[in-house]
Amino acid sequence: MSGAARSIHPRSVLGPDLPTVPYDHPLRAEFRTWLGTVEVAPQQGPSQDARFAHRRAWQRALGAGGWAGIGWPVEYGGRGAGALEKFMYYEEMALAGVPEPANTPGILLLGPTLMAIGSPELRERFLKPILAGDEMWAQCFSEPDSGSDLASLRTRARLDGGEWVIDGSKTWSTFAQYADLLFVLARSEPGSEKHRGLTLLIVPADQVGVTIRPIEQISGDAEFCEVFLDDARTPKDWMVGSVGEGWTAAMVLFQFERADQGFTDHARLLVALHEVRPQLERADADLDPVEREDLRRRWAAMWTRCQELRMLNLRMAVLEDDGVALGPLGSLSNLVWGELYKDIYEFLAQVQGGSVSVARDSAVAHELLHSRAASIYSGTSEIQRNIVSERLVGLPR
Amino acid sequence: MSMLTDPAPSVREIRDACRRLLRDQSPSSVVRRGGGTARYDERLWSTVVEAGWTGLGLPESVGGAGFGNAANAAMFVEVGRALAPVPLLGTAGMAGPVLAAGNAPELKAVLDGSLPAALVVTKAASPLGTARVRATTGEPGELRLDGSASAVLDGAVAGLFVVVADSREGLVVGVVPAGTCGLMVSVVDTADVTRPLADLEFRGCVARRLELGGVALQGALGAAAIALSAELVGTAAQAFDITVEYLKTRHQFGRPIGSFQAIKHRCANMATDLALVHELVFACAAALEEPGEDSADALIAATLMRAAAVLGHIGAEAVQLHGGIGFTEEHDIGLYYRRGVVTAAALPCPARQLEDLAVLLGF
Repeated sequence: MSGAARSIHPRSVLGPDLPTVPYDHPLRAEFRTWLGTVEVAPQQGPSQDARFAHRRAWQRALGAGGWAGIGWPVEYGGRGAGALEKFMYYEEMALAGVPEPANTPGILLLGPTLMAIGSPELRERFLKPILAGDEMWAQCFSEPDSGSDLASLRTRARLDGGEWVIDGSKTWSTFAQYADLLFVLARSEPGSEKHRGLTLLIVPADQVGVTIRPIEQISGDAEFCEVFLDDARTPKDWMVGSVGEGWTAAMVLFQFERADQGFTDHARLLVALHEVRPQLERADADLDPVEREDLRRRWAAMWTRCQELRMLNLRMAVLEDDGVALGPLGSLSNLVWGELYKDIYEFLAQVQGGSVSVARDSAVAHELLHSRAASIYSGTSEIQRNIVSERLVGLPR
Repeated sequence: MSMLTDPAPSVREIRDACRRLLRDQSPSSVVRRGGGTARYDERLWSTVVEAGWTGLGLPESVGGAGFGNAANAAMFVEVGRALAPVPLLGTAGMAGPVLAAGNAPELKAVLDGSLPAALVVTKAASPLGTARVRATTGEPGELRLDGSASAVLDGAVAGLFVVVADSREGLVVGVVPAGTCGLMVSVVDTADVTRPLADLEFRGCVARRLELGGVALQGALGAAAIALSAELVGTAAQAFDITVEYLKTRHQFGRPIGSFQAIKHRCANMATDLALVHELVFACAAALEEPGEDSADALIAATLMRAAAVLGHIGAEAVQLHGGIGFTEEHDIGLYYRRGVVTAAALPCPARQLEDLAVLLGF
């Protein structure tokens, strides 16, 4: 992009104008103007490495322009934006086709957790490079035998002089292969069980004791990694929260998982739906009339579900700004998003149809395969339904 | 569950007041006795009229209370929860906004409860449309109506019909008192004892023409669709709440049946649907209150479609999850299921709803 104005979708793509997040809000206008002119090199090819590099380039641009982590307090480089402002911010990003920032584990999870329960020294050391895009982060929570039942984890951490020494295997660590720093949940009290005796540690990725192995997915990507910790070392003070309070720290971190990302997902899905419209509208004799009729109605049904998600996200933003703890509502929106995401990409592949939709190098086939993870990571739909039925509906355990 | 179905704080007081009144004055015994074929509970009706419910959402300039669409929706959620046997939906929810938009002199009698009304909408005029009524213009200020309408909500008790009809000049609105020559009203004895329905036939029936522009008419029909959607969501929410209570107390195999995962997951799906459609209803109310650059018509159509589908699903699940007691006449849960079935008959079929939505979305 050399000075050319970026093309940005009209806001009508998102659905009707809503008074709490109005289309004429000054934040939208300011951000949109900035997005229209900022220069970021285009993505170099379709590979995952290229995609990640592009996301990182965008994050650096957003950071430099003062538009990364707008929910962070001003003192840490953010704008102190509330939830409704973040809602609008993410909608504008999606309309502009800007990828999500590369460092979501840092911006959305670890950063806010450090601000909530981290020591002043850790905040001083780690927060600024997160927003600037200088240090990438990865979460190391799940283990081969501890997925949905996270509290059964077995990775050990012991103090040896001034350092923690960590041993164990982690898995499903998103983009750990690009990470400079890991946040690791480990068992620091030998013999402790379940939620007790855990500690949340920050661990440098580049050391002899850390081996990172990407896991190839059915989509051909390798977004998740196995992380082997074999006498991995980290300073004694690089723990988030107190010794033995790792579960509490993890719960603080999980709160942020949906509260922020949740504001962006409906907009990206609506943009994806919008971009497929020309294919349904083309006067192409190849498109069977029955199929066309089916597809356009399903488009309407998908749009409806996106609106449902939009309104749910909006409701969560309103609640968050009112200081209401979202708690299990995060599970509800995660459930809605995961199921919708899969259905939309299945639909988009069907709109393409034929060999285009299944070729190994086709974007839509890639997205279809990629989408299957949506109802698995960050809590399977089945776990979310358990949480919704027990904690929101109040059914007995 | 309350986090999922609480309206915004600004309208919560109205919700609470409506809920209290209906809890006291519209218990199951009143519901079962009061509604149905060509009847409604007159005592309850005068109570809610006195409480100002008929004009709650309408602007003060036309004699309403001016609380707006969100408050109106919150009220209709409660009316739907209680299955209140009063013609509030047809009168205040559906006919009222059209009469108000057209400055109809009949509105006064509608608001004071002396003239229950119903809305008849021709196909393609709005997501509510199932009727086939054509209008020809005769004398100035008059319309001649021909055609028919099936399963008109509150039609069996209406003293006034507001008819949105096709004509050579597009959509027009006529107002016809019950008993007018050329209008045949056949009361339908339905499976839902709480909802008075009627089939109508117009044969050269002369109606007074209501002058209102296309935008005003679409806004009024949108308000009507939101009121109906809110009522359906309320009925679904109540059926769900009753079912959850049952699942917590009914024991089999030594544990509450609500602790079985096969049941929990079905409840989680229902809770999710309910939360989403509840958000849609109040988003529609907000979007209609302050119309922005984009029309809310598609959102409103989507909302009505989802509200009807969610009530259909939850009503059926509620019966199933109650087991044997669920299909007995004695138990109230069947009332909610039947409300869903009968309302579905008053709306376009799901495929038509989706098709109309696709058209509204520009396909």
